[in-house]
Amino acid sequence: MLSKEFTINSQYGFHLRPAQVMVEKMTPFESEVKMKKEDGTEADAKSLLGLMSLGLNDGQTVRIDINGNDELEAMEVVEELFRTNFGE
Amino acid sequence: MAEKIYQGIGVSDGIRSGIAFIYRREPEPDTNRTVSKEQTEAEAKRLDHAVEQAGQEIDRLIARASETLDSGDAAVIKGQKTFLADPAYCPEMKKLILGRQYSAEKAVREVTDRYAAVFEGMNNRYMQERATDVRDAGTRLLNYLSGVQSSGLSKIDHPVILIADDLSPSDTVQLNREMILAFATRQGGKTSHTSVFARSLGIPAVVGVPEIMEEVADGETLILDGNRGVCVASPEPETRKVYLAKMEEEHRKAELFGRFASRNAQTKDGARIIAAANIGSAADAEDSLKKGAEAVGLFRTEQVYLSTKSLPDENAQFEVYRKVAECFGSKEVIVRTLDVGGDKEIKYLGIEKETNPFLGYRAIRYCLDRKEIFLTQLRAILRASAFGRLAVMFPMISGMQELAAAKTMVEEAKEQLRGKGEPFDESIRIGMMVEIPSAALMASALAKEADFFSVGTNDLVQYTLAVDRGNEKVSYLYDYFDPAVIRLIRLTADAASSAGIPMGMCGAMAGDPLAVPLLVGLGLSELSMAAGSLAQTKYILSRLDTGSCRELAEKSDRCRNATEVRSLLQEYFETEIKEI
Repeated sequence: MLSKEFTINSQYGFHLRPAQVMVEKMTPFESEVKMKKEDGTEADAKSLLGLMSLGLNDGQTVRIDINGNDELEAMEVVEELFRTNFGE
Repeated sequence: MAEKIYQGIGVSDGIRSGIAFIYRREPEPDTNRTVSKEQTEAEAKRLDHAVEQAGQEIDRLIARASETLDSGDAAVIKGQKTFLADPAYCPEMKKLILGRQYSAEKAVREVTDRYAAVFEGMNNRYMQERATDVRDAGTRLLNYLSGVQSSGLSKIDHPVILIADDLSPSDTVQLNREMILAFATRQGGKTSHTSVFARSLGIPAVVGVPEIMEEVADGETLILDGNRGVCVASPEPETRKVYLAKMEEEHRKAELFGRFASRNAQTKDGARIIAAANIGSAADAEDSLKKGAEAVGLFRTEQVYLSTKSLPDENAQFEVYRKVAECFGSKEVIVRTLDVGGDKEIKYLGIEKETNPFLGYRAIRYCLDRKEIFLTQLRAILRASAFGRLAVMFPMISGMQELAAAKTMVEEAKEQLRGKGEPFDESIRIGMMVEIPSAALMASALAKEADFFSVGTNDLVQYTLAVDRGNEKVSYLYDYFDPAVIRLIRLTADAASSAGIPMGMCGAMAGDPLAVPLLVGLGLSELSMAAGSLAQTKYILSRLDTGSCRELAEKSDRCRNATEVRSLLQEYFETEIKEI
């Protein structure tokens, strides 16, 4: 399993569009991808509702856990998404 | 019926009078039913079928939306489609049907409510408003389950003022827009779908009017004032008269100016003046283009810094600048480097409180001291210059030394990019704001070192007249028509013209109809203003003759105070431009 921390950087928090991008990019991967908040609540990163239910605000830290055959590739994509701020 | 006045939030400008059309959603189906154990399989299939149909409908809506609306609206509807395909949405419903013998309706209701409640409970207005999207997806499923599909909105065939609890993307996409005079909704804020939708189409709208659904009747006469957020039901003849006059005035001006919005700004005798916009973000850029901007005379980059909690890195800045550059294509965008301090505070930059902040550590002074911050911004601007036509402008230049130092920094940033093989526009123009009297006085020397000038009237006035316009006790002295200010502008314009560099203005004065003839007469070649004033300014320019403007500028030089200047300009306006 791979695990890495990221910081949300969007004035509206992790809102609809970044969440949509996340779901879109993660769905093709076989691996299980979880996004975890600091308070322990977690969501399936392939579920828009799950991600949005986390209610992530600007500046919060999240942990991404990826578990599966293509976890390396999936983590690379996650890193790219956070680096480019989900195309904002 | 007696006149009733309602106060809401005006979210899209304009005044309309018309007949109210009250839109109520279909009565909700029974969402409390359970089914027998044997029926659960069939019930799950019924849900699958509704999901499939709803998905197809959304596809049709997306196709329609992408033809008529901008991509933002299509994206909102796409969001709904994603909800339908979400592993936490419909599969969750099926679990409830198969496991707890829920009817499909009850399952839809429960899961939808659960997620909508999560969004509504968030302390972020944007996310709260997304609850509408989830509810909308839920309602669509319920409609398919019960066989009710059309909502009555698509049947509107005469012009109405549409009143609703709230409107979702799937509501608005059904509308025949020709038939909608205005919107009034019980819920919503400035960023709700109805508001964004109304603004993008230029339909007046008032939201957040609590009583409107209950108290206004279908078919009742209504006046809606989107400028002030007011709705008047069954207006008295007196009220009607007042609003009618306002509407006529609005209509006349819109007609008059509207024809000029998309044209190039030009005087009667054919002199080209660039009508440019002041912007602060990529969204402003798009909006100003629609309103007729021929360039950007001032891109305030402070917003890029204000929207983050810590210093935005080079890439984050680059993305914003690139978007704006691409948006304007071959039209020039003047990017002003960070103008912080004074009354603009950015917490994380750690500028200490000063007793005299406007004369202190701010703008270019800060940037020349904090070289890393400045270089990061310059690199981001330079990299973005490869995607359009950007120019760099320094704020608060007080003299030659600062201009030279700032230009050296640009060279350093260029060198760093060359080292990394990053492309940028090698011939990018470097200009400065003239907003300090010392810069205006030394304009002839500065003009040899700068590629262009832009007068910032707001600061120039306060520094020239020693007036803090935020101080009510002295703000009466603040006036850009003061002859002292105009002389400084003239000095700057003359220096620019002898050196052969263009000169613009990006302060509030540039968008003032009264000032336009004077500025043309002084020889300015670009006027940069709030996008909303562009069409009007283009119209005024079209009525002007440069020779007569020059005479006007000469005359203004003999005025002894602001009152004299103002009356001179007023008189000129009334005789030369007449209708406005």
